[in-house]
Amino acid sequence: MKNATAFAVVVGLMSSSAMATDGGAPDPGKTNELYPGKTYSPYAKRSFPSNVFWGDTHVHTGLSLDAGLFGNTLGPEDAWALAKGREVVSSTGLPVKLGRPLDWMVLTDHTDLMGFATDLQNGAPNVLANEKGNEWYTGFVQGGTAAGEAAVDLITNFSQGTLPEEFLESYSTGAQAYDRVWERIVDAAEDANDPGNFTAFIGFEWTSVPKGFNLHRNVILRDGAASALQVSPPVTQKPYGSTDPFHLWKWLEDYEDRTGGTAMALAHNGNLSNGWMFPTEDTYHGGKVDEEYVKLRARWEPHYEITQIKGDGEAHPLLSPDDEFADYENWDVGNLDITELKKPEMLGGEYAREALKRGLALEEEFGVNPYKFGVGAATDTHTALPTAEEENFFGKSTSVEPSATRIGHPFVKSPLGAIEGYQLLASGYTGVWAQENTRRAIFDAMRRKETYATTGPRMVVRFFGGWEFTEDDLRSRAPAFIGYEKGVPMGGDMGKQTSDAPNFMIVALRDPIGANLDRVQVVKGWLEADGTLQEKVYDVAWSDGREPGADGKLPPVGNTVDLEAASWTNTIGASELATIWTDPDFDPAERAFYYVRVLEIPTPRWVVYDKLRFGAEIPEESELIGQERAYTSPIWFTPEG
Amino acid sequence: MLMRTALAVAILAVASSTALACTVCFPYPKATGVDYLDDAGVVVLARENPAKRFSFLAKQVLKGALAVPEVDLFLNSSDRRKLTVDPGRAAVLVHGRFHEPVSPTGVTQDAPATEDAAPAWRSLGVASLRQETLIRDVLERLPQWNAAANGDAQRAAFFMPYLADPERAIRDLAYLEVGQADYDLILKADRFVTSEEVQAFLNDRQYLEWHPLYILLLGVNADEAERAYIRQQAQTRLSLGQTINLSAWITAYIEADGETAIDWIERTQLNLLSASGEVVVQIFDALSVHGNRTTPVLRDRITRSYDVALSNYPVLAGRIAKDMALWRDWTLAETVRRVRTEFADLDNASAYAIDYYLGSAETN
Repeated sequence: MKNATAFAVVVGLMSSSAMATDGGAPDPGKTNELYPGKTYSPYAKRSFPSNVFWGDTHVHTGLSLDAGLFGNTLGPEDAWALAKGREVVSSTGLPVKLGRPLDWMVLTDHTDLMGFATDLQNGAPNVLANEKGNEWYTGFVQGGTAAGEAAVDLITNFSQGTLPEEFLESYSTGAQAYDRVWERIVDAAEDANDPGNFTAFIGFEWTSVPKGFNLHRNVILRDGAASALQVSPPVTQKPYGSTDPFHLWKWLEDYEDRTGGTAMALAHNGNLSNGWMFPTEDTYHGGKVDEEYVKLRARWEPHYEITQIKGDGEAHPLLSPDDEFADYENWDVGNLDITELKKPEMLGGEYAREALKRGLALEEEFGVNPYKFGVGAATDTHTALPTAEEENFFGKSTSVEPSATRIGHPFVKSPLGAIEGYQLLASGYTGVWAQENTRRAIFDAMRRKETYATTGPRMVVRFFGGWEFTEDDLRSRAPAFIGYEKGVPMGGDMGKQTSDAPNFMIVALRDPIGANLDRVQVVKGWLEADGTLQEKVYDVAWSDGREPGADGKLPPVGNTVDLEAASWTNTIGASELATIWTDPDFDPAERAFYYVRVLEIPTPRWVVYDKLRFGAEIPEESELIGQERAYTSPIWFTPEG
Repeated sequence: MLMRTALAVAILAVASSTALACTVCFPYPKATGVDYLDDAGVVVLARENPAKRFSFLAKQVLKGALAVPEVDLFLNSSDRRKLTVDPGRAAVLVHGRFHEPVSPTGVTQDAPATEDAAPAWRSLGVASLRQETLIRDVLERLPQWNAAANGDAQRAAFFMPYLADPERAIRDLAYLEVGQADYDLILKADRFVTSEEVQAFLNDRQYLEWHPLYILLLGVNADEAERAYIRQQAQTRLSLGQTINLSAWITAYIEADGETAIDWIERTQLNLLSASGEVVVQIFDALSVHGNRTTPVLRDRITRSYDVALSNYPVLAGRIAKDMALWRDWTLAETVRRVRTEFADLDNASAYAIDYYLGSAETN
């Protein structure tokens, strides 16, 4: 058990080396490159990130067709205001404020028919000029069931390809009405962007969902309005777009060529793709996972949304039977609209850990790993309210904003199955290690994968991989210097092998207003010589002096949750955990990755707060307690030669 | 798969919805759980197979015979948890020739089984003890329902009390079962649900496709406020040409206001040429429901509306001829004959219905 006791360790990891000349200080010669200025001030000229910035990569406003049609009346301006810490009023009339502001955010409204719902509700002249548009508008004005019927009629027409052509044309790439909406999104982001204090990214969600298989991607631009307004986001409806990711990747390439800017896409949590998010042989659209596919995927999708409101996507217990914590908030009934039920063989193409493993095999075959991604988390809220706090959860959509009945209302229901309301996950946020809070710094950190995901809490996690870390390094007052000096951070590739096995410096600090930590784990995946993909989860640091049992398993940390009060106490667990861990099973001939999973002690899920506040009834099968967690981006090892 | 053709089906059939990026409403199934139980060759209660996680092991056979207890069907995490928290519960699995669902561009559908579908297992979900009791009861009654001339009515009547069941899964099943009944029978369901429950359900937008049954019940014994509400809903939709659930609203409107409603519909819709084809078909569906009631008090008035409709909307001729033949009313024969002569491009079904009606008229 490695339980760091010095609060200064983590402080040092966060803001590094206020006392760098004290014991355990870095070798000035070695840190020279990292710390080129060698100024008197230890904070000056630092070339590595010392701050973690919290954000959400996936937020919808009323400009998204589905959000707008079903009651979201908030626009980008409201979403930015909430993210920056202001109080706003939700679409259902509830005041809402985040416990703590976010540092950055990406607004990602659906591109298909983007802004149409808002124009419809506002009675825009181009909408009213059409007979159908006029009909829907009148329905919305009436409200109640008439509004609902208008919405469904619109959606039905859209999905069945019978939407008036002029609407499809007007709200697709390059059309005047569509570009006006895009301009509004861009302008709102520009207004909200405050370099050094708050980063407002310009982005969108490319809404590919063929036959209900969720292949969505969120696109983030590194750039401002000057570049963004030179382009028009791609849609998926024929003949104006395509659901094939190649179409998106081509758009991204064109964007960079045209503007000189930089962009990337990150795949939506793949758990509702029914296996198509991470293909290894055939793509959904009839193509092959070949040299071109792996290169383009690796180039354009360096980041992945590992957890969000629609379930956790790190691991599945069927794929990872030895991982006692893999059975966590999994959504595995079917695809997005449950028109196709899940089959076991689909799971491998949906979960992050399996994708990371598959990537090793594809790299062996093609020389490029298409699934070498960093990880982050998002809400994917359609309320414009990025709330990932259990006690402050505004739900997936306006229809399930806080109320006495939302727990019992299905999120999706089809003749084949249902996802119940209580299964929504109040998740999550992305922590980004960056040098400053600017578009450039945060985007670049995401590109180099120096990020981690949490299911909502803001624990601070550092993860370095190297060959020469020692216990003394952990006791350093300036561990971040040591980490960068002797290793690589999360998202990196292990440097040249200089010892028998890689070792890792890991430090985790609990959310200052959150729960203590249960344990820190390292998840390793590797490719054996015979092509077999393997994984193993190691407990590497834990709280309370527990001893592993005869089966090698660590006993549970305990449970302090008071369900009646919707609370818990930090009388178990640790406020910080740190360790130097060496891989005991290392084989230098095998490709491998390592990432860290940090588990909090048990805390109440959002449904318990609903019961406390509304007297809501909770079905017996609903989880009441969860162990929130963080996942870091991996560090990869590639054999020499 | 048993697909009964009760008249109300036409009223309850609405356009399929979709999941765009996020699901916004729940599709109305074409088959009920009872249909699956009926068509299945084997029905079992099962729990997780301890030797193979995330799959099933049959614990009890409720129908048919089972060669081996292992069932190779994925047990999802949601149902697995339900089984874990309550060792007394079991999943209901059915084996039969069920079609795989069809999802063209995200449109949810289930399809009735046919002989060419491969035999497969399907889970109907994890049952509570009350659901399990109900399923056993249904399995016992199904042979009798299938054999009886009025079996469909017996089946619907059996489920009516369950419309107010405290368990949503049972309520939903009852809703679908009652929804397949004849209109006259549906009206008897009114006493099992309160108007508050009906209103609450109709306010749930995500159940929009499910609304028609309760729209119909809204019209039964409606008080003045309810009649005004129904009138407003129906008239607005007709004015706008908004077709989702339109026939249900018109049916309820006629139920509430009687001939006055038909007068309004005839005056504002059938007498004009402006209504869309889909709207007039839904008007016809509603008129037909009332004309085909056991005690068709409005049939003469409806026949007059049919006459008007024939002149302006010959596309309805086949449907109207079918009803008129059923009613053995030959008063519209000349009008129908004129349509048959003037409109050569009628579809085969319409042409057949018209020819049958005209032939019958000549011999009567």
